[in-house]
Amino acid sequence: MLRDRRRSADLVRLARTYAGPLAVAVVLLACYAGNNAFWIYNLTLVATYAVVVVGLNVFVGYLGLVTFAQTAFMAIGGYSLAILTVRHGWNPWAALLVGIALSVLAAAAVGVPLLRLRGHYLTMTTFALALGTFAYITGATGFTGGSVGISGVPPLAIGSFSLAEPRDGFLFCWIVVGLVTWIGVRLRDSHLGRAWRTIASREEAGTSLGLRIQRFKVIGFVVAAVFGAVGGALYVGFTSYLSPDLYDSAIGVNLFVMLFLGGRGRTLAPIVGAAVLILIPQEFSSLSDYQAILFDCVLLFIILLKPGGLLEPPQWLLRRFRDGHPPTSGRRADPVTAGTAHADAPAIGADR
Amino acid sequence: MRPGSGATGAGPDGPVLEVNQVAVRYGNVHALSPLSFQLGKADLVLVLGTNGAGKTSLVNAIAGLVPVSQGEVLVNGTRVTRVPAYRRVRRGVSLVPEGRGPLPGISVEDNLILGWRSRRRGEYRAQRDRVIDLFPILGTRLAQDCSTLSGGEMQMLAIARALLSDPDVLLLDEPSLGLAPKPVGQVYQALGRLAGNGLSMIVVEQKAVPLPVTPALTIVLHHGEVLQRRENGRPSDAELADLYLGGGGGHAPRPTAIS
Repeated sequence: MLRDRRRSADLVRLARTYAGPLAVAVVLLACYAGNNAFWIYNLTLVATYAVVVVGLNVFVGYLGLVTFAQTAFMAIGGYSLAILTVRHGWNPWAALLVGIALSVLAAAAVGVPLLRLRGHYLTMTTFALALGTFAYITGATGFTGGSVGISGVPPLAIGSFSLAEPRDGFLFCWIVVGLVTWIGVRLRDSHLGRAWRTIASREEAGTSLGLRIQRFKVIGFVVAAVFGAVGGALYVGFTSYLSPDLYDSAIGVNLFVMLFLGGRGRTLAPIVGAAVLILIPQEFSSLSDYQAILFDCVLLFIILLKPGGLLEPPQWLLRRFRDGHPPTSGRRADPVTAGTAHADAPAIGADR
Repeated sequence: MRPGSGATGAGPDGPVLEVNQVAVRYGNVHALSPLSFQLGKADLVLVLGTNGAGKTSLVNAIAGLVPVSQGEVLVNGTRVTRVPAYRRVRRGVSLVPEGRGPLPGISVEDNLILGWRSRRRGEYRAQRDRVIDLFPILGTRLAQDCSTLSGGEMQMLAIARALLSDPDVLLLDEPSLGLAPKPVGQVYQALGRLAGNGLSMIVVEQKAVPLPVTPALTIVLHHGEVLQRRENGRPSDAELADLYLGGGGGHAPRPTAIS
């Protein structure tokens, strides 16, 4: 009896871990096989934003802090690629690496003083950083091309496999999404991730545990920045064009909405959130005049009715899970069932 | 927990912790007036007081969470007054903060690993098994999310986590807060065992608690001032009530005006 229950609990755990990624993989493969230009193109855009939002998930989902500065790091990745390749004839891969290195330097230099701030002050300064970056790239016409932007950016390519080819670009960008998602999960489960989650839930508990809070925050900010730069460069490498509009501070808010739509801290939230926010406006483009209003209303309702994000299992499912399959000790605890799990755990009855 | 405290400045018999004229203020508010005491090896200092008495300020100042406005803190003879909190943990000061705080999404085991990583003294498993020996219930909860624990288990976990750094001084900020009498008894029984093993402790509480050992020193605070100090003992419940309610009239007759 107990063994049966444990086996079903293991099955549930397996399903919970792999069902989501599997579903995403199936959709992507179907799309790749179907080779519909609209879907290939738009899902590649989704992928580039998903990479950026995975970075945001590290900072917001794991570390529990707020940043609107992701667009600044996207800009660093994008402009490094564009300027170095178009103006100086660099190899796109080298330009990408320079962009990543610059984002690390910038995030560390800005993060050290910035992350001493708390709450609203931190939020406001990251917003200022995004606004400042936007103003700079719009104004510095000589260096960035100003509001005209830079076109003709050569694609990242390996032999004949090139980001300029829609299907190759699709494949490449989604492989990168898979990679950064995997890195994100590994980070979450590492000591770094434990420290981040401790800071997120109770900073002073972390301090009393001997954690260097400030350093862990800066590392989180740098990781987010690197993913932001990679996503930014992928976008430019795929569309071969960039302009300051891509880094408008409103985009920074959208990135945030993507994460919350999916459910912050959730592994697949960046993918689901980016897909919803990019694909739905495309589908309803005929309503373009009212699109923003409609969209905001939908978002408002989701945030009000489903604050845990779209990926949060519905309550009835959680209840069923709790009643049918008591989580047993000997496996990793799951935050989703946290509040309900202990009521049925067999070991507890004795001492309560 | 560990024999021989590895004292650097003082001899092996010197105090593990010295608090010299330590005061804390937040802006213009005096949270704690200058206070001095020493904590010897295996000693227990009990700090009593109502809300706002300065108890938490005292332990936070010792742990480095708040800066002192004057005075010195010495650990094993070494001054740590300007040492940041995370390094004080490595010097052997470990704080169990008030309200313990569930860390949702972090398993019991991960909590313990976090505690161990802060100092890495000895093998993790050996250290972990030692705290599980002290709090057996945690051994059955290792994989559980710690927000699923009961209040008593959570407090045990908070203490266990602090113990995994193998501290020389354990600071406990209101370990009985919000707990039913039974878990309070379990927690204090464990503290008694720790004291028996030679761990030095400062325990902060609001009210009388079932302390299985006699404190080497009891300090009663009120509005940041020391209301009473008592060596090798502590005030009874009645005395304490009198101290709190009578505003300091209980321990000695007040000097009366001579007409």
